[in-house]
Amino acid sequence: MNKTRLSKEQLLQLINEVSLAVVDISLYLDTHPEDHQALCYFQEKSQIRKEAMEEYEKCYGPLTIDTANDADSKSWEWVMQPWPWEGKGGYR
Amino acid sequence: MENYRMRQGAAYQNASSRETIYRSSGKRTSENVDMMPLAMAYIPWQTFKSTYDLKQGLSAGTIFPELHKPFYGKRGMM
Repeated sequence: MNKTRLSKEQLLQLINEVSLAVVDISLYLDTHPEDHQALCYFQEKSQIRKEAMEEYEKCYGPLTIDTANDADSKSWEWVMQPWPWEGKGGYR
Repeated sequence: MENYRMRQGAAYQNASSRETIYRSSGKRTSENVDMMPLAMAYIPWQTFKSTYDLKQGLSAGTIFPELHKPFYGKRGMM
């Protein structure tokens, strides 16, 4: 999958989808901590999520406060992002 | 991890008793529920099988097809 070809909306959609998968498999692993298949699934999806979030943040700004401290930014990019109630990708 | 083991002790116990029942009967546990002690609640042990693709998973709210139970407002669903 070439994530650089994804639009902002597609990338955010992928992040939402893969995040659900990561949460769900983590719940499964809570009761099956030694399930090899589930561990592989977690590692794979977790990596996809990490890369997608890095890609999004590089192109469109931080999604979580953890990456809001971008030394290259001359302004506080965090507040420049659409708020959740501003809809998909923001309405501005 | 120790805390985890303590918390999950019951789950592991259930898993091993499930295996005993499997071995002795060769049938699914749920078909032998009449043999289980009364007044206890039993939850079948989930195993890792297939998963939905990512898009389907978000739409269903779970990546596990066997846990996808849409609510229709009436009757149960298997």
